[in-house]
Amino acid sequence: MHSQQHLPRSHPCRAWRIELSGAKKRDSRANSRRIILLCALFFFLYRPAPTGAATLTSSGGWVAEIGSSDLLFGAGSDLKDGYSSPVAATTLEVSGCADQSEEWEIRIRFGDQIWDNHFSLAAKLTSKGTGEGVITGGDTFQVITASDTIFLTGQGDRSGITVQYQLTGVSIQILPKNYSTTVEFTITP
Amino acid sequence: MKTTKILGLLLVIVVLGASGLALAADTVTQTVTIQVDPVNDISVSGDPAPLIVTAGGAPATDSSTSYDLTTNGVALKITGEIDTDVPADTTLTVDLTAPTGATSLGPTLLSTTPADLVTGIGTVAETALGITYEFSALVTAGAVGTETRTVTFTITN
Repeated sequence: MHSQQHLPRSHPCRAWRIELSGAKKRDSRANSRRIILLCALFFFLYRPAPTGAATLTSSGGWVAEIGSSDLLFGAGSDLKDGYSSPVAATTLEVSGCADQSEEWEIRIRFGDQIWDNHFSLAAKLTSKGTGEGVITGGDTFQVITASDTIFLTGQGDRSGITVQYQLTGVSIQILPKNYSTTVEFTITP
Repeated sequence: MKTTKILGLLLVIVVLGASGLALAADTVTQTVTIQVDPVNDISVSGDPAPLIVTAGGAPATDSSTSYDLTTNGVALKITGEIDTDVPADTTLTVDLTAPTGATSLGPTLLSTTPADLVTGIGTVAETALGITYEFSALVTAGAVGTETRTVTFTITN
């Protein structure tokens, strides 16, 4: 058994279809305007990522050993407050820039820590390295915190950027233990 | 419906395009390790004067020396010992002034076996802490010539 429904064909229905068609035309024009507007916005705002966006690589690190030889005046005295790493404890390399005018900045912060709150760790640039680009900042020791702060800014590829660390806040009150922290360098355009 | 999707897609492209560079961050990490070793340092200011007694007589004492101490541990102690026992019927004691927060056990007989002198030492860095030696001899000790002993102070757990 098959049942068929026949819709009534009448003039009012055709009239309704005509009105709908008119509304579609108006919507279509409005949408076209929106598309044109968005395209214009896109071309104004869009700054294409360079084909080779700056990337950062690093090597090195620092292990500081503190013991009796660091007493200020032998038995009865406290430990030295401050310690410096080798001048090139960390080496950074910026590569992949589209050209020497591509700007970037390197931010620094602490990562994971097994730390003592008395410690303060700072970093400074000891060599701007080599390359076609330029580097500014990082000339003085900058205390590293848990928040991202700008460490260096520059342009273009650079290699052999060296970093020295400085630890302060050491005293006899710090219990013997291995403390560690990761230092995160983040490059952003 | 189709037009709405196209509009939405364009909007996403615009937003991503505008923020495209911010998405290009690259992070590297370096590890800094601080190795703090145990610091247990003690030194003495010098040797005491000779302790001369008469058998059965009054003991001889000396408080002319002192010690300096630096430790960064907890619940440490100082023990004392001599290299060779003193002659029969004589005694040699030592009394160390305790650093802040620690406890002195007072005059303690010295022998070739380490004896506790100060206990409960924490993180300290102090100087000129007193050392007092006392030597005595019973009548039965008889005549004993001049002898020398080396006293060793050790910081231990």
